[in-house]
Amino acid sequence: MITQTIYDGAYQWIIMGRDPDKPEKIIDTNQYIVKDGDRTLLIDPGGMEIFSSVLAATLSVSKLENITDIFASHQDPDIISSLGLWNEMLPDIHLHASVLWEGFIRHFSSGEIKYFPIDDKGGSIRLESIELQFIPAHYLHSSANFNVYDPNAKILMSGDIGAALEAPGAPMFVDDFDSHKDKMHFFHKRWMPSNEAKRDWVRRVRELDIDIMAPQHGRMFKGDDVKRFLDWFEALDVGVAIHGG
Amino acid sequence: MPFNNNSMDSSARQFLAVASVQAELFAVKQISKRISLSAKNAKAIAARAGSQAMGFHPITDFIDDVAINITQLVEKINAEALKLSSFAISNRNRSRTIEQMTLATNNMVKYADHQGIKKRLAELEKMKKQFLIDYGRKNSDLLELLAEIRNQLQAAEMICTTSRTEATRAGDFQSNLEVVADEVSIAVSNIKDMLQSSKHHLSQLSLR
Repeated sequence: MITQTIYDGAYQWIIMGRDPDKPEKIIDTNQYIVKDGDRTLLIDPGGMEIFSSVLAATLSVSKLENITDIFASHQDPDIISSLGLWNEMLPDIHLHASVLWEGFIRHFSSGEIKYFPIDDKGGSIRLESIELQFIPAHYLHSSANFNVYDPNAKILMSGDIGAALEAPGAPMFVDDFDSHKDKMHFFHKRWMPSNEAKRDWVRRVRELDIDIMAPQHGRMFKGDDVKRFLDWFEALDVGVAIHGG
Repeated sequence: MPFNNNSMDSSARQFLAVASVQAELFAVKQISKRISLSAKNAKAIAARAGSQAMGFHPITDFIDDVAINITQLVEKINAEALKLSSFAISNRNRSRTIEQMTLATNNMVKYADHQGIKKRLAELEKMKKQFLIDYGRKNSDLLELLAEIRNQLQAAEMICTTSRTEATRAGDFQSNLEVVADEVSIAVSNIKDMLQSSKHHLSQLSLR
């Protein structure tokens, strides 16, 4: 699994992805680490199938005992089905996810994990030096869904928004937005259910200062590509399956 | 479905064993309800037979008690079997975590936190050993509960013999009471077969 530091200041943001050992038929995912002193937050740590790769990659940047928190943007198996393994390994770990999903996510062998529910309006988490915000992104695609925004590093971890279905080994950043649109088109039209939710999210995200938009699948967006994505997404008609695709 | 499916892993075999025990015990419970009904039927016949079947009254009460005891024991065994099943699930999760963590150590870069993961692996292995001891203990407790049901059945068998003797004194009601004694006897025999099968399933529950 490839790890790459995307912000390196008093604390670090690291992406882990493009796992060459991943079973062929499961979707490729990006996992993120925020390492802030002796606190490490795992963002969308992924499914059971890639647990050992994510663990090996995480321990190359953080001590095991410092992995204190997990954030799950929503309840999907590629986001958090590894939870039982993390909990078995780190019984004191804290899980941050939507209040709506607790009863569902706990089906992933979560045992007695300490679940910190995030209210529909959003919330935040303070690590050692930095406070990260949980930004509502409901219905994009999950009905209870959050992004993570770091106002200091200017990074928005956008979950499935901005996701692209890519060939193995794709670059970490979008290098040509126009050609990248094709890789996002079907995913957003089919997975995102609500134009209203989409417009509301775009309006709120335009007000944030973002250098990097980091989705859970595919490439990250940097600089002007963030704005290009917002324009593209705003104009896209989503929720198309009810009209037969 | 064949029970001893060698293609299954040990955990899957345990879940199947517990489910099989529960299915057998559900049937035992149904039969013990029928025994209870037979006892009530015998009581009614004995009441009609009057003084001729006086000796039958305590017998029917006893049979009814046996049926109630069996039902209660079955419920207890069911609850314990379920606990054992969740134990097996926890063990499976722990084993999977250990397996995945070991795999991760093989893929870790030189400067990664090898010490941290080794320490936690040792703790998990220790927990797993203790867990296996506790699991074995629980399994033995279950077998003891099954043995308690067998004791109840032995008592019921003896009472069936006594019932037949008492039936001979019931005059016109003799055949009715013999039918009841036969029903109870067959039910007891069926339960014994099911318990034997449950015992076999439980013997599959040992963990590796």
